[in-house]
Amino acid sequence: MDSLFPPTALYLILAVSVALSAKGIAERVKGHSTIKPWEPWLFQVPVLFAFLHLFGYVTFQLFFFEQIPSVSSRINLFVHWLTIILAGFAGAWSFARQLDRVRSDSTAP
Amino acid sequence: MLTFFSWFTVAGFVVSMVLIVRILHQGFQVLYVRVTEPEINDDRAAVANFVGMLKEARESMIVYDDGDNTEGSLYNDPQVISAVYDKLQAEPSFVLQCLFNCDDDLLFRKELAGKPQITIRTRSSSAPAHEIHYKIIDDGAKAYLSRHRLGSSERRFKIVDCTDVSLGHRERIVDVVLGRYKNHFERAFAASDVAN
Repeated sequence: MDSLFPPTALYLILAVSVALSAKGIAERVKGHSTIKPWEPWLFQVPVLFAFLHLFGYVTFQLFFFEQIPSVSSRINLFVHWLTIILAGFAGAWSFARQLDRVRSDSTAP
Repeated sequence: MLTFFSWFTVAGFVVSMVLIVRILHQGFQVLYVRVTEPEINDDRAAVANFVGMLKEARESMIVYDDGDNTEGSLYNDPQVISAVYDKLQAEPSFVLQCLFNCDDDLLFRKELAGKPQITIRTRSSSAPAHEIHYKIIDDGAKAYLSRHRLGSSERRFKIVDCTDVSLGHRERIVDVVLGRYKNHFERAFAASDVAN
């Protein structure tokens, strides 16, 4: 059953990507009011890549739903899949709002 | 045999990724806003900035300032009055709305108060003052924001330029970066209507 779920390495890669991305963007936004619009993508691409692997791994397992041996494993995996989707949306949304807030604060003279 | 559920998860995967990238793309739009480094201006620079903003405006301009009658005030400067006249002549549908904290006798009021495109009001005591003064053109395309004490001739200012933001995202982005000033003006201007 363990093989159904993504290896720990994928979670670690995602965590490191998020941390580096947050650090890089925070430095850019705070330090340069004339930040170039493509710069955040530079930091977000590794996060999206890692997220894609994690999400893709679980989706691939669910694609062969019929071959998953037990009902509890199927439910477990589906809940896992849903959690990853919700985490992805929540992460993207909070990241976008954070950019809004930082940018808005930087306009005050 | 692949089931409906298998295809559902793949469709969910694709749709979710597209939506997540779309949320990020919308979030990044705020970075197209250009903000100048903070600068200090004197009376002459204030006049030049006001006239510059007015020239760039196409449809409207809102002004929130102290409007106190001090020597060197831009609202007593003939260059400013002349620039407003030129603007009204070039664009008759142009709308200028001013809200001042002081009810002082300014050349600006004397010369321009009767024009139908111009509304000059004094802030009502029921509406709170804002610590930052602003001139915003074309509903937030560009803004000149300054902070200073009453009567001070040196002002710390920044210029916020939203013209690089695509029109599809402009309204949301303007609301994010200039919403607090626009909302303040809307409320204080409406309150002053009752008071004036």
